[in-house]
Amino acid sequence: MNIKDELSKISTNIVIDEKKANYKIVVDDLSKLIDIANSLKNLGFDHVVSVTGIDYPDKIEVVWHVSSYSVDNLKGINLALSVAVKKPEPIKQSDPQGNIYIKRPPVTVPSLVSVWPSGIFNEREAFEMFGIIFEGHPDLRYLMLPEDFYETWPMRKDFTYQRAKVFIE
Amino acid sequence: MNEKVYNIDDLQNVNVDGEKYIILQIGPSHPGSGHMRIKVWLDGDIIVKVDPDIGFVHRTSEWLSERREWIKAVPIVERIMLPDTVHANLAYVLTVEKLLGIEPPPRAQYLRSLVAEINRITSHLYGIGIFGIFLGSSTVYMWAFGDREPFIDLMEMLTGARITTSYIIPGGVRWDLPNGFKERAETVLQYMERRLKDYEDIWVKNPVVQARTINVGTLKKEDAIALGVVGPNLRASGVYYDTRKHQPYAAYSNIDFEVPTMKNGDSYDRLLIRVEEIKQSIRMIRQILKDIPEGKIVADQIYNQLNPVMKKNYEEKKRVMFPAFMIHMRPPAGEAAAKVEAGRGEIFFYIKSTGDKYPYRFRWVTPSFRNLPYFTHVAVGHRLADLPTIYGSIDYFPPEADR
Repeated sequence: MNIKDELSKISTNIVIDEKKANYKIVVDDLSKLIDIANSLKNLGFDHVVSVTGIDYPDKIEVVWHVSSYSVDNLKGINLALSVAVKKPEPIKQSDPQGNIYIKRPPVTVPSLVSVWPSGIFNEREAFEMFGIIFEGHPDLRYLMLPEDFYETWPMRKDFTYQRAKVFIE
Repeated sequence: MNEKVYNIDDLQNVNVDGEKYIILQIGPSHPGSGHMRIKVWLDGDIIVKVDPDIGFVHRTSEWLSERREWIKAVPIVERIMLPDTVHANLAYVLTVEKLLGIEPPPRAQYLRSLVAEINRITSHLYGIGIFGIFLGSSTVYMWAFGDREPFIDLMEMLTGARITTSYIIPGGVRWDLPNGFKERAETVLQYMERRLKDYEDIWVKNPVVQARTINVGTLKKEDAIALGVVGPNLRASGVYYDTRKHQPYAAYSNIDFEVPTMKNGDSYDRLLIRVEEIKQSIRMIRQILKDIPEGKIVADQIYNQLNPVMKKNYEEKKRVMFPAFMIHMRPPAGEAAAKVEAGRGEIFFYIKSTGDKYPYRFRWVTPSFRNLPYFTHVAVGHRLADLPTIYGSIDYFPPEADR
C-alpha cells in the first residue's frame, strides 16, 4: 500500500515532507472534517496521539495527530490532521469596580471523539488551554486548571496573568 | 469478580445521582493515589463509574518551554518524568534534530540507546516497587528501589548525574564511555539476572499476588487499540507495537531484540511484561557494549563550533561540556514530531518553529496522560479493593500526566 496514493484519495490538500517524516492533511472545510476522519479510520489510523491548538494572531489551528496500532505499514507514520478556524474579535468588558478586561471568545470545531474515543482527554486539555469548543464531545469539562482560570485560555499567545494587587500594594 | 460488559458510549451517560450511588473521593493526598484525585461512584462496593481528576501537580511546562531559548527546554522536559528522564531528553533532542537536519555519529547513537536502556530498567523497577507497595508488600518495594541503585550508579558513571542527566544534546552526547564501564556494567547485569530469579520466586509466582491480580483490570485488545493506551500496558493486551521497532531512532535498527507481548491484558500480565522487558534491556545493553563503534560523539556541525579550550578538553577527556553557543540555536521554520518509547510508554513531542529564538508551539504528550482511560474503563465492575491493584499495575505517574 502506497500511503501517498491512499491519502490523496481522501484529500487533495496534503503536505508531505519525507525527510522529517511529516504527513499532514489540511482540511479547508470544517464540514468535511468528520468524513475525512472516518475515511482515515477505515484506512487503519485507529488512535489519536495528540490533539492541540496552535495560536496565530488571526486564527487558531487545531491539529490531531493520529497513528495506527493495527495496520503494519502504517505503524511508522505520524499523520497530522489540521484545520484552521478564524478567531472572533476580542470583547472589552468592565466589572463593577471599573476594571476593564478583555474577553476572548472561544472558537468552535467538530469533536472527533465519536471517531476516535482515544482523543477524549486530549480534547478536554485543548479546550481549557486554547478555548476550542469541540462540538459533540461527550464530556467537555476543565481537566487540569483551577476555577480562577475560567475562560482565560492560558496557552494563547496574548494571555497575561493577573498579579494579586491586594498583596503588592 | 463481577463481570460487567461495558460500552464506551454507555459509560459516558451513566446515571450518577447521589441517592443511589455513594461518591467516594480518593486523593489528592497520597493514600495510594499519587497526587491526583480519583472520583469513584459505588454501588455497594462495586465500582460504577470512575472520573480521574488530574492537574494537582500541573507545572505549566508547555507554557514555560515556549518562553525560553530552545536549549533551555532540555532541563524542563526532564523534570516532568523523573524515572524516565533520558527518554524525555532524547525525544526533545530528536525533534530538534529533525528541524535542524543534524544526524549524530554512530557512536553517539549507540550511547543514546545504552543510557536509554539503563534508564528503562530503573523505570520498570520503580514501577514494580510501587506496584508492590500498592499490594501491601513492602519487601518488593524495598528490593526494587534498592536494585535500582546499581543502575543509577551506572548512569552517574556514564553521564555525571544520577537522575536529571541532560546527557543528550542536539548532534550527539556529552560524555564518552568511561574506563572500566564495560566491566562494571557486566557485574551489575549479572547481579540483576540473579535478582530477577528472586523476584520470580517471592513476587511474580507468589499465589497471593496471582490471586489479587489475575483477571483484575482486564483490557481487551480491541479496547486497548480504541483507547490508544501506550507502552507495556498496550503490549500486555496483546498489541504488537513498539516505537523502537516501528519508528526506529538512536541505534535500535541495528540492535537485535524482541518485543514481548501478553494475551490477557490483566494486572498480572502488566506485571509480567515489565519483568520480560527488563530481560530484553539486559540483552540489549550487552549487545551495545559489544558492538559499539569507535568514533566521534558529536556531529561535525557541533564539533566545528567548539572553542579551542573545549576542543582540547574533547580530545583529552572525550567530554563536551554543555556548549554555551547553543543558546543562540534557531532551528529553521517548520514543524517536526518525534516519538520515543520510554519506560512507561510512548512520548510524543510536536514542535512548530517560526525560526525565532523560542519555539512557537511545543506540544508534549506523555505516556501516563495517554494511559488515563485505564481508570475510566478498566476499573468499572470491580470491587473498590481492586482499585489500588489496577492503579499500581498501570505504572501511572501523576506529575508526568499533569506536565
